[in-house]
Amino acid sequence: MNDKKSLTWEEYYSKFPKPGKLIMTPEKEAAFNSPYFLEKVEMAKRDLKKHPFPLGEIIWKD
Amino acid sequence: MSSRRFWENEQKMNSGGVWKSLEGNVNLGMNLEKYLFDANEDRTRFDFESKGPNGAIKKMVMFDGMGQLKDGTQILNLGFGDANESHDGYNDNVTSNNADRNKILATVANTILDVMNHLGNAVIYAKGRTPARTRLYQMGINTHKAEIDDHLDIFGETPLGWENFRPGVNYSAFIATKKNYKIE
Repeated sequence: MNDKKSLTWEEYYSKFPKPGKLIMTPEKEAAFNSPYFLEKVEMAKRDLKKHPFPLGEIIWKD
Repeated sequence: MSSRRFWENEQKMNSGGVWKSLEGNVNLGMNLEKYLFDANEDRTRFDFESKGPNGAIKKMVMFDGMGQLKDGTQILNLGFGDANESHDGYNDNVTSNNADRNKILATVANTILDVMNHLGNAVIYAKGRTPARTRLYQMGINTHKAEIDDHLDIFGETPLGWENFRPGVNYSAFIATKKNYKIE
């Protein structure tokens, strides 16, 4: 159980399943591009601007 | 399915489309049951199916770029929920009463690692649509903190600002990045 300490990132990541290939459909495109998501991103940006970011200055995308 | 071939030599699937590690000597997040999932090439979009008493429910995970750090590390928002295709959108719902909450959370956590690995590193911002859902994320981090601490830095947002994640503190949002990330 203690051997987990010795895992490198590569070793750790290798223990997780890897994704298959996502086949996009019009329905999935619509879901991924839904207004709900755009709104959520804007909410996240507002939230991140409330406090100094712990990893340094953010260069915003837009 | 051919797209699943990447890890079939090392791991096994059961007939329910669930991944189980063969290396079950530790009871940590990496050995939790997870759903098989698919991703697009740039690892911004993932989907998988929750399977339970209420049938199959499509789940989608999206990582939206919001900005970057000075060294170019991308800052991504994690969006997650049911694909409510009939309503052309999402509901951010980790609790769709399909008796598989932990499996869903473990699968979403897996997508985070996949994004970080694909990009080399990334800063992932996560916040539930409601405080209760954010609390679920927090419970997941708490449960596997020992394992997470070896590989990721997690910060929690309080009313006063960001701090290193501490068990027992209620946070309104989280950010995660690879351990010991250094700004050059």
